[in-house]
Amino acid sequence: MKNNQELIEKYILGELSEEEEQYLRKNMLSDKELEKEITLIDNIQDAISFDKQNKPRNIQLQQTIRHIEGDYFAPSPAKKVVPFRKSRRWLVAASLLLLIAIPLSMGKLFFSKEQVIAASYLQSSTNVRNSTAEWQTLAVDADHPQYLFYLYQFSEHLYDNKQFEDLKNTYTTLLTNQQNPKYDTKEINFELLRWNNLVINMWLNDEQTDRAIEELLQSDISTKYKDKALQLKQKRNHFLYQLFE
Amino acid sequence: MIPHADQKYLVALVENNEPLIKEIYQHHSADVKRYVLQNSGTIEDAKDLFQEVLLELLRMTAKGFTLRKPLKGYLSGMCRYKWIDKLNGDKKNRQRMRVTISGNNREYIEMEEELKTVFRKEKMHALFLEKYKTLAPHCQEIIGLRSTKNETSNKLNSLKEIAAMLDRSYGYIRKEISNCMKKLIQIIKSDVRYMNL
Repeated sequence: MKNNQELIEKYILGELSEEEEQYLRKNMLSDKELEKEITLIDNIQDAISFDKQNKPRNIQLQQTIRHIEGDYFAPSPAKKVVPFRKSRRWLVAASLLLLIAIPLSMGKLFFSKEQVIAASYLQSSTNVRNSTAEWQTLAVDADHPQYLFYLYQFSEHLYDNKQFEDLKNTYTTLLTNQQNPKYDTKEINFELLRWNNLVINMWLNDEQTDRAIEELLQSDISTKYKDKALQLKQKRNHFLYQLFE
Repeated sequence: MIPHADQKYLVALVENNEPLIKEIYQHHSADVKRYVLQNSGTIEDAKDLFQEVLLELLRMTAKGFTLRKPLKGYLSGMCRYKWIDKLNGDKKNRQRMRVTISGNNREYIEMEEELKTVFRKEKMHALFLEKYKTLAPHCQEIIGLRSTKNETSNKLNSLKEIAAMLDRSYGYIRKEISNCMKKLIQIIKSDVRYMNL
C-alpha cells in the first residue's frame, strides 16, 4: 500500500480507489496528523464551495440591509448651542423642576418609596467582581463545579448594570442550589444573597416583603443581617413611611 | 428538534424578506447600539457590527443552523463575541467592556458554548477563503471547480470534467490542481491564526 503522502495527493485529486479510501479512513483513526490533513482539505473545499453558492444571497441581503439600517442607526442630530443668557429656557426648566421636586420628594414620580428604600439596602459583594474582559470564561457547562460561582460573579455584573429582573432570577438559581453537592460553593456568600434577594423582591414587588422580613428574622442567618432586617422593619413601620401609601 | 418561532427571521435572511428583516432591526438594533456605545464604540461601529452578525446568521442558516432559543440571545451573544474580538488586543478597551445580557443565565451559557463552536468554524472558513483569494487566478479557478459538486452526480467535479470545462488536457489539470492545492495548504498552515484555531 502507498504511503500517506501519496494517499493525500490522490485524495486531493479524487483518484483514490475504494480499497485505498478504506485504508486511508482506517489509518485516520490512529494517525491524528493524517486525520488533521484530510479534515483540512475537506474544510477548504467546503468553504470555497459554500462561498460560491452563498455569494448571491450575501449580496442581496447586503443591499436590503443598506435600505433598512439608516432608519435604525442614524447618528444623533448635532445640537444647536444657545447661549445660556439668551435662552429663557432655564426659567421653564426651573419651574418644571419645582413641579417635579414635590412629588419626587414623596417618592411617587420615578421610584416608589419601597424602591428608594430598597436601593439603600442593596449590598454589593465586591470581592467576587471579575474583570469583565474575562467574561467569556463563563461559557462552562452547567454541571461544572464552578458553574454556581460563575453565576455569583455574573450577579455582580447584573447588580452593576441594575438589571434587577435578571438579578432576581440569578439569585433564585443560586439560592436553590445552595446545598447542591455538585457545585463548589465555598466562595459564595449565601447570607448576603438571601439579604439582597429580599431587597430585590421589595424593589420589584413589595407585596411579600413584610413576610420575608419575618422569615429572615426567624431564620438561622447571622445577627448582622437580622439587625438589618429589624432596621428595615422599623423603617417600614415608621409613621412617615405609612403616611405616603 | 422543533425550531424556535424566531426561526422565521433566519429564513427571512436567506429569502431576503425585507419586512421581516426590518422587524429584526426594530426589535434588536437598539440593544446592539446601546451595547456598542457603552463599550467604546460609535454608531457606525454598531451599524457595521449588526450587519456583520446578520450576514453571519445568513451563512449559519444556509448551512442548516436551527434556532432552538429566542433570536435575542443569539444576537446579543454574537454581537458581544464579535465586539470583543474586534477590541481584542486593545487592553484599554477590554477593561471597559460592560456586560449587558438578559434572559436565563443557564440557557445563555449553553448558547455561549454553541456560539464558540460556530465562531471557530466561521473564523477558520474565513481564513481559508482569504488565503484562497491570494492564489493566482488560474489556481482559484481550478480549485473552485474541484470544490464544486456536479449537479447530476452530486459528487465533486472530477479532473476529467474540469479538463473538459476548461478545454485543457487531463494531465495539465491534474498537475495544476495538485500544485495549487499544495500551495494553498502551505500558506494556510504558515498563518499564525490557523495554528491558534
